[in-house]
Formats: sequence, structure tokens, C-alpha cells
Amino acid sequence: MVEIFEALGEVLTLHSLLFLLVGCVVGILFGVIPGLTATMGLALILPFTFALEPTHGLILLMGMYVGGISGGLVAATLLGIPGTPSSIATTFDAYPMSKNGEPVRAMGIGIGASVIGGTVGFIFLIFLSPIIAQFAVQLTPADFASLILLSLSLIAVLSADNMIKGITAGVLGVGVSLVGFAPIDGTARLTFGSIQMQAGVEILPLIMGLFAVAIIHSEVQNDQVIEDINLKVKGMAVSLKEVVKNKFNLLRSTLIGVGLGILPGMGSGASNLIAYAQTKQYSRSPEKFGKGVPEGIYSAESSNNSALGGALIPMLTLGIPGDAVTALLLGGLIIHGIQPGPLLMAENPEIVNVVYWGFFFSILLVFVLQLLGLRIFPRVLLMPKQYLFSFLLVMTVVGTFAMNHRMFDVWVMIVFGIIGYILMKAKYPLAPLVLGFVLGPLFEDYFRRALMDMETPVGFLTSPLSAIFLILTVSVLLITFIQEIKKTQTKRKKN
Amino acid sequence: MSIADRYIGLVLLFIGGIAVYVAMTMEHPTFNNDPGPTLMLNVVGVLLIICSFGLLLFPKTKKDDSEEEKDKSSDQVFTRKRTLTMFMLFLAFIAYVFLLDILGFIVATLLFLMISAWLISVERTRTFYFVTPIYSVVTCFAIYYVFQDILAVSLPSGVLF
Repeated sequence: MVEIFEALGEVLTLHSLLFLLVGCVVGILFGVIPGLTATMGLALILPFTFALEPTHGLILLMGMYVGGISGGLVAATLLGIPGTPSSIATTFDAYPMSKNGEPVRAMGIGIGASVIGGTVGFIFLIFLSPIIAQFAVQLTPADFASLILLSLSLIAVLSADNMIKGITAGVLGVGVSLVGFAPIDGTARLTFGSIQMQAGVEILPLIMGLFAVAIIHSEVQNDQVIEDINLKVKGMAVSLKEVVKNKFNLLRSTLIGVGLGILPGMGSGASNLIAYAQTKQYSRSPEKFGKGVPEGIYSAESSNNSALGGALIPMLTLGIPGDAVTALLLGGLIIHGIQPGPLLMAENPEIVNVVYWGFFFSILLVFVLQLLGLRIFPRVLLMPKQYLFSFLLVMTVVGTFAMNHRMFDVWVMIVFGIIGYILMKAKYPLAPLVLGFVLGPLFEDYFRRALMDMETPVGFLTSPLSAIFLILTVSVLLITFIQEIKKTQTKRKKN
Repeated sequence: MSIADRYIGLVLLFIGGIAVYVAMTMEHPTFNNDPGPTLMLNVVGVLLIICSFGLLLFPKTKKDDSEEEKDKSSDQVFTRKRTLTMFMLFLAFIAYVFLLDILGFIVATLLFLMISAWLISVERTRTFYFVTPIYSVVTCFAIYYVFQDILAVSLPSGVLF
């Protein structure tokens, strides 16, 4: 424990804090501007860290990591465009709240929830990482498959307003994820002979199309001007009373974030959607979700930030990166001759502690920087539409192209722009589609591995954890369907 | 369900059918106890067909009728004008993406920024005609500089110039 505080001295030097500041500012910029991603930012800055001392290099990377993911809040709130998959659920309520004339409040809630989520993630990281990491590696493919199935069952919760439309969108999302090489055997599916399609559909063109392209065109069509933007608010535009009122929501969402952040592939991309669905399920007024309720923002932002800490746990203790961003961080450690894995804690405890503190101070600094921008960022809404939208459209193209240097990805984005527009106009929820897309391939991979490991599918019920997850899945589905039937019956009686 | 849902149902029925057909005709290696890559295709295909039947056959409710009426009644002339603007913008966007490889990033982006700003703008004052070219040039070169020089992303240079 003493070593942790010794590392604190190294992090709190002027040089270290300067690198932290640069990392956080550049990270936030990458998160804020649609088309630029945290992954891109880390890839850009990684070679520069080579010439730095390990402490400074790691601190710079931590700032970029936290800033890049947290910065997604701004574009998601003000423009309805999630810069990263981790901000998708933020758009559902923060954007409507912003359109209702309260952009500062929406951002204030998001910033507050982010710092709470990030701090919880840090606490888990610092105290429980070895234990959690050991537990995570003991999960069998059957446990993983059942857990993902439980997460997929939340599609029903996200579809509560119109079950058929929501489930259709969810199945469509899973279907889209099947395009390209199948896991395990590498057989090409639904590629229709196209070499380009063999790589499958990536998440960035999908979210850029569904959210950015579709929303911008819809906004141009609507011509709805936000006449009364409330930029003059006190403090963070959030009361402590409201935060306390959301204590269980915050606790549940941060725990979901940490828990899913630890699991490879899930991370903050899935955690914000799952936490949002859970909050909606437990809410007394789920019908208000998607129209600008604070609960939705608290949930999405606290879960995606807590997932950041969660994702660092397997990376540091086992050397397993959960996603592309943590894979780059792993690269950063290796560049400095540090080998992540079970021996890292024993061999280089000072490096681990620097990462811990770098992460914590990044959360605090990003919080301060976002607070400073609380009244500046929303002014983007005052920008003339013709300049804002044309700039954003160009950024979607350039950002999507920059991912793989392929025009094919841009065309994929346009196709999803059309699909997103049609679904939006026909009032289909987009959250189940994205959740299906993110979790579909993971489920298939673990499900098939589990079947290859066991003699019969009964093995899913003989593993205690898998059995619990399956029981929970059935419970979630039953409760949601019963609630939906009751709601329909009440409506019929009223009519 | 509305008329739009019926059309979506038809499209999904077709997609579901294709998924099941591809799964049935696909050749793939088999491993011990592995259901293979066709399992999810079959599941998704069948579920899409079930969902499409739901969209096609679920009766039209009063809520659907009132929503359709609400959509129709909202300032139709103005909406038509803006819908046309949206379609024009979308066509310009597709043309931009298509021309990127031919004209190169700078020329295509300059043209797109000016045309899209002109299309989206409701009022075109003298200031608009003065500001828009400056905005287009500054934005275009700023994006080019950030991506090409700082991020080392090689943007399309075109074949004409």
C-alpha cells in the first residue's frame, strides 16, 4: 500500500501534470469532434511516448484514454452523434434534453455522472483488480455465452414501447454483425462474392450512419429551431439532491460498467447500453425514457466511465486488452519494455501504481476541463445550421475513411444512414439494433466454443454461473412481457 | 402497424429468406460438436421472418392512425420544401463521396461544403455569399491539414489533378 503513495509523488510533479494536461485536452478534442476517435488519438500519440520516460509516456496515454472516451459526451449531448460506441446511450436522453433547450443541464449531468463512474472504476481498479482478474479468467465459454444472452435479453427491455419493432431492430443488428468471416472456422457469410464485405461491418461506419448521417438529414428536413437555449444556469446545473435521488441508478450503472469493462470485447461500448436498459427497466416511468430524462444520462455516462477502469484490470493483470483502445495502451506499455501480465504487479509495481494514479488524475482533470467547457461547448448549437451540418457531414466521411483508408467503409456508412433514417421515421428504436450488433458476434463465438467443449447443451445448466445467468435471462424476458401485456390491457380498458 | 411497417416487414421477409437460403446452401468445415457458421444465420433468418410476419399481420391500431394523421397535418407545404432540401443534400452527399476519388479531397470537399451550405440555408443574404466561400476554404484546408499532416491519414488525391 505504501508503494501506491510513493508513486503518487512521481505523478504529482510539474512535468507529469503537464503531460497529463496535454493528454486530457487532446483526448477530449478527439472525443468531441465527430469522426475523430479515442483509438485514433492514442494511435497518433503512441509513437511520441517512445522518446519519453515511462512515467510521462504512460500518464500521457492515460489522459488521452480517459479524455477520448469522456469527450464523446459533448457530441452525443449537443449533436446527437456518439463519437465513440461508449456514448451511444448518452444520445438517447441527453440529446432530447439538449433539444428541449437545456444543453448545459444535460452536459452537467453527464459530467457529474462521468466523474462518479470514473472514480468507482478507479476504486475497483486499485483494490480489487487481482481478485477480479482471476475470477474473470475462470469463466468458461458457457458462462460467457449465458451472460451475453442475458445482456441480449435486454433488447426486450429497450423495446418496451413497441415490442415487435424493438425486437426486429435487435435481430437486424445481430444479422448485420454476421456479414463477413465467421468466428472459429473463418467461413465467409453473406458476402455475396465481394472481397470488401469479407471484413464485415465495423462499428464506426454503423454508428456514424445510424446516428450522424440519419440525424443530420432528419434535422435538415425538420427545420425545427431551438428557440430558447438556456445557457445561464448556476454551477453544474445539477443539484446534489438530484444526484442523491439517483444513487441506486448510479450504483447499479457503475457496477455494470466495471463488470462488463473487465470482460473482453464488452467494454464501455456495450456497458452503456446495458446499464441504460437496466435503468429503464427499474424506472417508475420508463415511458419517459428517450425524451430527455436525467436518469438515462446518469446511467449511460456513469457506466461508460466506470468501464474504463474495469477495462484496465485484465489489461494490467493478465495482459488481455478488452478492445482496440486498451490494445493500444498495452502497446504503450510494451514500447517502454514493460510486459503486462500476471507478473507485472510483482516485477514492476511502480509502473502499475503510476497507471492507477494517472487514471485517477485523468478523471479529475477531464472533469475540471469539461466543467470549464460547460458553458462554451453548448454554444455550438448557436452556430448556423448550414455551416454546422455541412462540416459534420464532411467529418463523418473523413473519420470513417481514416479508420481503414477504405472508401468502402464510407459507402457502408451511407447505407446505414438510409437504414437509420427509415427506422427513425418509422419509430423503430435504434438502441436494440446497436446492442444486437455489438453482442451478436460475441455470443456466437462463446456459444459455439461452449458447445465444442461440452457433450450436450445441458452443460449450460450444470455450470452454476451459466445456470444463474440463464435463469436471470428467462426472468427478464418474462417480467418484460408480463409488463407489456398489462400495459396493453390497461390501455384497452381506458379506451 | 402503419403502412411503412408493412413495407419494412416485406423487406425483412426477403432478407430473412435470403439468410435462411444462404445458411442452407453454404459449405463450411465441421468440427466436433460445433453447430457451424450456419447456426446464427438460421436463427437470425427465422427470427426476421417471424418479426416480418408480426409487422405485416399485426392489426392497425388507433394509435397508428392518430400518429399518421399527426405526421400529415404538420405544416405540409413547408415540410415538402424541407424534404426536397433533404433529398438534394443527400444527393450532394452521395455525389461528394463518389467524386472524392476522382476530384480528390480538396476540390470535392470545397464544392460539397459550398453546395451543402447553400442547400441547407434558409435565407441567403449578402453576408451568406461572402462568408460561405471563406468558411469552405478554411474548413477544407483545416481538415486536410489535421488529417493529412498531423494524423498521417492519406486522403484521396484524385485522378484528374
